[in-house]
Amino acid sequence: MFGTVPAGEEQQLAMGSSDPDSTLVAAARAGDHDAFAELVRRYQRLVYAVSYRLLRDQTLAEDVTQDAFVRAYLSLDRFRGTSFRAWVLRIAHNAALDQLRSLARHRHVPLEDVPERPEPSSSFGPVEHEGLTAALEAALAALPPDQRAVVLLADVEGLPYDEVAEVLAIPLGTVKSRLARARTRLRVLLEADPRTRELLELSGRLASGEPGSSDLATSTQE
Amino acid sequence: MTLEASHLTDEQLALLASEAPDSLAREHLESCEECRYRWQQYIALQRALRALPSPPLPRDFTFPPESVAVLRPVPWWWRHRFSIRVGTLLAATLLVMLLSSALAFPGSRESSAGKRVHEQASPSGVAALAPQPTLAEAGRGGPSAPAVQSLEETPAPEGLTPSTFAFARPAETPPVPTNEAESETVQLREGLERALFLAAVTLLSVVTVLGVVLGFLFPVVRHPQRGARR
Repeated sequence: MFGTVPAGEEQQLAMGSSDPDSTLVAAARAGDHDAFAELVRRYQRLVYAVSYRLLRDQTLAEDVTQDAFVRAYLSLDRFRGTSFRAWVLRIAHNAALDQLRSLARHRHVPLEDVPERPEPSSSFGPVEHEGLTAALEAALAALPPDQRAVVLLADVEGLPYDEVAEVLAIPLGTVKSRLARARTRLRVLLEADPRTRELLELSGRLASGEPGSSDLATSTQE
Repeated sequence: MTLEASHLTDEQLALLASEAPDSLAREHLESCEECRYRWQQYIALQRALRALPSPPLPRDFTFPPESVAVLRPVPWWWRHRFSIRVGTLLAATLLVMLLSSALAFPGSRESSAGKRVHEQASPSGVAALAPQPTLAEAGRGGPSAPAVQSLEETPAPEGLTPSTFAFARPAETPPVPTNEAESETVQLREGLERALFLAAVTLLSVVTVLGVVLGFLFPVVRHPQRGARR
C-alpha cells in the first residue's frame, strides 16, 4: 500500500516560481520534516474532503488521505510538477478510485453502477431529510465517479479547470464536458424534489441578488 | 460555441454557470426567458456546491518521519545483494580459471591449429592415407579429390600426356581444397577462438567489477537503513 508512486503520477514539468508551496517543498526535499508537516496541514482538509465525498466512508477516506501524504513524502524527490496541491490530490484521487474498484469487485457490481446506489452516510442523510446540503450531498453521491470527481474539484473546492485536468490527468475539454454533464444531472436530480428545487432557487436568489441581467456580467470561472 | 436557432442546450447552460457567455449566448439569454431561467438554476447550483461545508476533519494527518522510515523503498541492489554476491564470486572464479588456463597453456591452441594445418598441407600425405578409388568413382564426383590428386602426383605412364588426364577428369568433380584455403580456414577459426576468449574475459571482468561494487561496496557505503535520504 505504501509503495512508490506510480510512474504516471510523476510530473515532468519544472515547478513554477508562482507556486505558493515551492519554498516549503524545497525545504521538505532538503530534509526539513517540519516543512512537509506544514504542507500536510495546508491540504489535509482538502484531500480528506475530496476523498470522503468520493468514497462516502470515513474510515476509507482517512486511509486514503494518510496514504496520499505518506506516498507524497516518500516520493518528494521525484516531484517535478507545477502544483503540490494538484499532485497530492492526484495521488489521493487514484487511491480512492482503487478503493472504489475494490468495493465494486467485492460486491460484484460494476464500478459504473456503484454510485447509482448511494451509500448511507452517518453525517449526511438521504434526500428526505431537510436541507439543501443534504440534498446536494445525496445528489453528488448519485453521480458516476468520473463526473463526481470533476464536480468536487471544480465546483465544491473551486479549483481552476487546468488544475482539475492536472489532478485527473485528462484534457481540458474532457473536464468541461464532464462538468457540464455532471451539472445537468445534478439539476435533474434536484428538480425531481419540489422542496430542493425551491431551496435551490432561494439560495440562488440570495447569492446573486436580483435575477436577470446582472448575472450576465458576473459569471466567470476563477 | 454555436448558438442554435432555438434554445441553448442544458450542457451549454451548465458550463455558462461558471464562464462568461460569448456575445451570441449573451444576446439569446437576454431575450429568452426560458433559457435565462435554466441558466440561473445552474448558477444557483454551482454556488450552492461552492458553499457546501467541508466534512469535519477526523484527526491530524501529520506524521513523524520515523514512522515512515521503514516504508521508504529500498534500492534494488540492496534487495538482491545476496544474489549479486553469489554471482560475483562465480564470475570471479570463472575469470580466474580462464586466465589461469591461458597462462598455463599459452601455445596449446596454436600448436593444435598448426598441427591441423601441417596435416592438411601435404596432399601426398593425404593421398597416401586415403583409399584409392577407381577412375569410375572419380568420374562420379565422390571421394575422388584425393584420388584424382594422387593420380596427378604419380608419374604418368609412358605414352600418356597430362592433357589426356585433364580430358579424362570429369567436369563435375569438386575442386580440390588447396593449402591456402585450409590455412585460411584455420586462421579464421583461430581468430574466432581468440575473439571469444577475449569477449569472455571482458564480460566476466565487467560482471565481477559491477558485482563487487553493487554487492559489497554499496551495502557498506550507502546502507538504506542509516537515514540516507534517496
